[in-house]
Amino acid sequence: MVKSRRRAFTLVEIAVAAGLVALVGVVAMRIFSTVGTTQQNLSQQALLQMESRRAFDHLVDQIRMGTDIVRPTTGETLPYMVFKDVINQMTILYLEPNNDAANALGQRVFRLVSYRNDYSGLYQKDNEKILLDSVKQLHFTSLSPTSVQVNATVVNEKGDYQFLAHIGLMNLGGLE
Amino acid sequence: MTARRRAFTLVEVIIGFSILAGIALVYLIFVSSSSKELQFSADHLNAVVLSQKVSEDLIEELAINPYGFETLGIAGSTDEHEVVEGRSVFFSFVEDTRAPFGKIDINSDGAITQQMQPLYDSVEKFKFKVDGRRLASSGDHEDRNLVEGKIDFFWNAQTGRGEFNTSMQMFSPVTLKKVDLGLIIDQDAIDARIPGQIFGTSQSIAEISASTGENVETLLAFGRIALITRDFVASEYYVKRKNDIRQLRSQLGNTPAIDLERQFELRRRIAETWYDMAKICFQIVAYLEPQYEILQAQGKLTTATGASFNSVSYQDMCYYRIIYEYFAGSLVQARYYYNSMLHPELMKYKGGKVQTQLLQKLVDIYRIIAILPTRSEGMQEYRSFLSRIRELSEGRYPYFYRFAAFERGLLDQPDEWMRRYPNLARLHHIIAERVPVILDFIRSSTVGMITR
Repeated sequence: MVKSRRRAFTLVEIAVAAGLVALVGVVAMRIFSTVGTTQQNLSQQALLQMESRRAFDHLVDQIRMGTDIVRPTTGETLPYMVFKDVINQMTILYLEPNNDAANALGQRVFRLVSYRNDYSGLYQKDNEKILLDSVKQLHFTSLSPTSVQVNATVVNEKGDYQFLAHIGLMNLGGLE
Repeated sequence: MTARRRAFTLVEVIIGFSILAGIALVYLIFVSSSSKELQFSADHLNAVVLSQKVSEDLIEELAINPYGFETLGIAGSTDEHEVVEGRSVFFSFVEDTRAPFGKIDINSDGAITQQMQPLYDSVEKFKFKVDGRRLASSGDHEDRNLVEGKIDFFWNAQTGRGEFNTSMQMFSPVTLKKVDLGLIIDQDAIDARIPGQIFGTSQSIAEISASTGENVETLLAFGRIALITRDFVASEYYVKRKNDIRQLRSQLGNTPAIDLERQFELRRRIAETWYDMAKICFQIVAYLEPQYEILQAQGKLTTATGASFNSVSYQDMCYYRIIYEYFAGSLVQARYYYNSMLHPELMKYKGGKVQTQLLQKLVDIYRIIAILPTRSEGMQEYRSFLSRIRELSEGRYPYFYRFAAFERGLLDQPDEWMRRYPNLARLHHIIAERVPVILDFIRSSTVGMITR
C-alpha cells in the first residue's frame, strides 16, 4: 500500500511565491513611502500657505496704518518700502539675511522686518517686528501715492509660494 | 508524530497582501483627496489675494475718476479677463522689471510672465469678471457718488469649478456734492431792507408795486441786486482779502527757498485765499443771476431806459460786473499759486499724495476756467494741463494716465462732458449762458450812460 505522503513545495513554487511576495512587498513599501512623503509635503505646503496668509495679513495691517508712501515713488519697484503714518512716524519694511534658514535650505533666504522709527531716534526693540521668516524675494511697486503692490516669494524645504497683493494706505482727507 | 507548523500557502499570502494593498489604496485615496483639498485651499487663497488686488485697483481708479469703470472698459461688461501675460488691464502693471527703470512699459515689462515663477504657474489658471455700475446713473442724485462693483474669480480645480465672488460698494470722492448757492445769503433780511433802503419809503413792497405799477417780483429782484452788490462792496471783503494776500506774499518773498515747509504753507494759504474769494464772488454772481432773469423776463434788460432804472441802479449793475471779474480773476490767481505748489522741490518734500491732491484741485479749477466766456484760452490751457498729467503719469501712475486720456476725450464732446459732471453743467449754465447776457446788457447800458 502506498502511503499518501504530504508533498513538499517544489523549488519553482517557492521561487514563484517568494518572487510574488517580494514584488508585492516592494510595491507596498513604495506606496507607503510615497504616501508618507506626499503627506509630509502636503503639511509643509499647508504650513507655507498659512505663513503666507499670516504674512499677507501682517503686511496689510502694517501698510494700512501708513498715510504717505516715501519710497518706492510712483512707478518704482524696490525691495524695501518706507512710509509715514498719521503722526509722522516712519516705518521701514526691509529684508535682512536669515543665515540659519539659508544654511538649512541651501539658498539665500531673508526675513522681512518692519521697523517703526519713533521720535527718540534710538533703536527700540519693541518697534521691530518680523513679518516673515523665510523670504526668497520681495518687491514693492507703487502705482499711486496711496497704494503699493507686494510681490513676495515665501520659501521652505518643500518649495516656494509666491503671492501678489495690492494694499491701499489709510487715506486721510484732501487738500482743503 | 508531532504536529508540524504549516507554512502559509500561496493563496493565503496573496490574500494577505491584497488586504494590505487595499488598506494602502484607501489611505492613498485619502491622502490624494487631502492633496486636492490643499490645492483648492491654495487656489482659494490666491483668488482672495488677487481679488483684493483688483478691488484696490478699482478703489484707486475711482479715487481719480468717477467714471473709472468706463475708463477700464468694464462698465456693464461680461468679458472674461485673464491674469497672466498682461492680458488684463488689472495685471499689466505689476513690476518694473526691465530698463529703462522708473517707468513700467506695458509691452516689455509689468505683466506676470513665465519668468515670474512660481507665481505664473499658480495664477495662470485664474479667470475673472469685473462689473460695476453707478447706483444713480445720471443726474445729481446723492447716490451718484456710489458705485457697486462685483468681482468674480473662477478656476478649474480637480474637484470641480472653483469660484470666489466679491461684491462691494465704492465711493468716488471726486464727484462733488451739490452745493446750495443760496446758503450764504439771508434773503428774508435783504427783502425787509428793500423798501426803506432802495425806494426810500416805509411802504410795503406790495404798496410800492401798486403805486408804481411794477410787479412785486421785479421790485424784489431789483432791490436784491442793489442791496447785495452794495453790501458786498461796503464789506470791503475783497479789499481785506487782497491785503491778507499782500502780507502773505511779502512773507513768501522773505522766506528762503530751502525752507520748503514754509514755502509750501505760504503758497497754499495764498492759493486758498484766492480760491475762497473766487468762491464767495461766484456765489453772489450765481445768486443774483435768477434776479436778472426776472428783470429780463419783465423786459427790463432790453434797453438802458427801462422803467425803474436810474443812475444809481446802473452803478449796482456795474458792481455786478466787477464781482464777476473778481470771481474770474481770483480763480486764475488761485490756479497760478496752486500750480506754483507743484514745484519739483516742494513735491519731493511733500510727497506724491499731496501732488495728486493738488493735481485734482487744479483739474477742478482748470475746468471752470475752460468754460469762462471771458477767458478764450481757458480750454487750450486745460488741454495742455491734461497733456502734462499724461506725460507725468505715463508708465508710473496708470490710474491718472487713464483719467487724463478719458478727460481729453470728453473735451472733444462738450455736451457729454457737461452731462458727466452735473456741477460743471450748472456752473456752465450760469457762467457761460446767463452771465454773458447780463454782462452784455450792463456793457451796452453803461456805454449808453457815458455817451448819452
